[in-house]
Amino acid sequence: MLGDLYLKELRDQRWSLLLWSLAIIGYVVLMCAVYPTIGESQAALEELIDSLPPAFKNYILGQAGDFFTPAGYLGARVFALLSPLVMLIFGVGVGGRTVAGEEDGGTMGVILAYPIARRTALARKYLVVLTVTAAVVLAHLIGLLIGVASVGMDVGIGRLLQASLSLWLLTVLGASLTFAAGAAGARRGTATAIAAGLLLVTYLLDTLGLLVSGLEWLRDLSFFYYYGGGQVLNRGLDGVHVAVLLACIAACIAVAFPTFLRRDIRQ
Amino acid sequence: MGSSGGAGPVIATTGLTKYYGRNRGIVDLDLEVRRGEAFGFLGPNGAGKTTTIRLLLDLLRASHGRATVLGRDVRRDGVEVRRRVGFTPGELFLFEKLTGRETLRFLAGLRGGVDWAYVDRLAGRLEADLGRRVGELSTGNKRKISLIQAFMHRPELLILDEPTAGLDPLMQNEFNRLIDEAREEGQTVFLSSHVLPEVRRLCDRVGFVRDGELVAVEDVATLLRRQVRELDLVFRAAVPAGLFTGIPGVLQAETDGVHAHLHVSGSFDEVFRRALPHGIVDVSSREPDLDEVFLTYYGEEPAADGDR
Repeated sequence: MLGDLYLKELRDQRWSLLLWSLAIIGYVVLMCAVYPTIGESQAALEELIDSLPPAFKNYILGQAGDFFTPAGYLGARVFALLSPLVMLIFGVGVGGRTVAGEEDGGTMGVILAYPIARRTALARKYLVVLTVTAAVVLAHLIGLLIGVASVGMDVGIGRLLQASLSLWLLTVLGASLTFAAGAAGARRGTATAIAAGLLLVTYLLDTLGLLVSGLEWLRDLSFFYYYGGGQVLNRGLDGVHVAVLLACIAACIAVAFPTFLRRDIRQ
Repeated sequence: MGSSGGAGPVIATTGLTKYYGRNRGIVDLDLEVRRGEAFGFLGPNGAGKTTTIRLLLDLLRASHGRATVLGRDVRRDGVEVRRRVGFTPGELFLFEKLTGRETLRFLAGLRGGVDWAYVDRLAGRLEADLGRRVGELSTGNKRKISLIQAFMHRPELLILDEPTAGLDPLMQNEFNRLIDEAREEGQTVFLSSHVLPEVRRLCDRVGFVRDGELVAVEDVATLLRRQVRELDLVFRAAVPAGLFTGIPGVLQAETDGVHAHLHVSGSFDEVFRRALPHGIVDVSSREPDLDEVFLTYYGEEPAADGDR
């Protein structure tokens, strides 16, 4: 029922997906393994953080909460910056490859010269995006579970699941941006630039909102604020934030389909 | 119009127009391809042939006008149209990482499966190597994969865009046989080309396209009668200047000592009758290229003929 297009794309990506997954598991396990060593330097670090200007201190605590609890540590070191960065690089790449890349390579015209409706082709490609992003987020979760268990960190599985869900939504959003740009007719390079630019700008808005008092409202404009950074591990998922991320993803889909159905296919 | 298309035209376009960025792709195309015929779509590169074909497959959307294939609107019933059409594109874009066999299995799957024994037979006849990655294949071998996928479901209509580009002569012969067999089976062929002999060999009718316009549609039989050839003769001794003047069908004749250069349409009988007494040392004849055909058929301004 999913059809050959979906299966072919999964097959095309199997090695890249495997390598990404292994690398991500390795990276997350490593991050967890380092946790016991920070306890030794806790006093020095706390002193350092206390000596920072209040705005910067707020920023660090705002990203992660208490750095020295297991959840605080994972929030700050893993979920706040590094994991979203890695996931978004992967997601933006996948979103760009599946539509803009296929068209740049000339094979979109081959597929659509077959008895498959454009809507169906695009839907199957989007399903590929959902699947492979879920796969790498799952690898990330597996890494966390291994790491947390082996070091004996006290983090609830429920919270890990919630933080992973939020990470997946952000990844899907990043992939949806390049997907939609490609569906609307952008070449892969352009689609990637559009998505990366948007993500970077909203990341800066989030950071600026955290750092500068009076500019907190800027955070409301940022994908990363709704993603929640390290906070999901401490406080759990915020339903409204999830809804905003879903709405952004829906907006990408709402752009992708009508534009793709209406336009010429490049050769 | 019934679902099988019945006796109606297999391809019908009215006022089909596509403006394409700065260029005009095809303008106001009225075209009819009949069931069971082989129609050659002939014109220089960039004339609008590929644009027309991509419009028929709904890969491009027309600026004006409409097109039906097998009685179905290409826009509204595109999926149904493409189910019954086999297509090989002029530019060979294939899935570089897949082998030929994987490519064909994938594409057959998009059609809901095909008779795999027939695919193997086609591959055997074209001597296609299905075991290697497409990215490693030469143009000619990629072309074979592309031809197999166009023929593999025995479509009612074959749309072939420059189908023999890159094929070696032996394989071109095999391709010709495939077309002949397809026609015996009642399949319709729409073939674009920029070389006249190919179209003349395979087609019943020819449409000439130039600069986005369909200049003329001719029966191949008529074309053969009106065909112009360049003829070069070398004589044993110098010949008089006016030797070939006044022969019907000799459009142009230059003589220079022992050499003569002529453009001849139709029969060569009278030319050789006059040449023979002077002793012929060498004869060579050349097929004029497409531009020259246009010039001789339609004068400098192809569109001014008004013959559409």
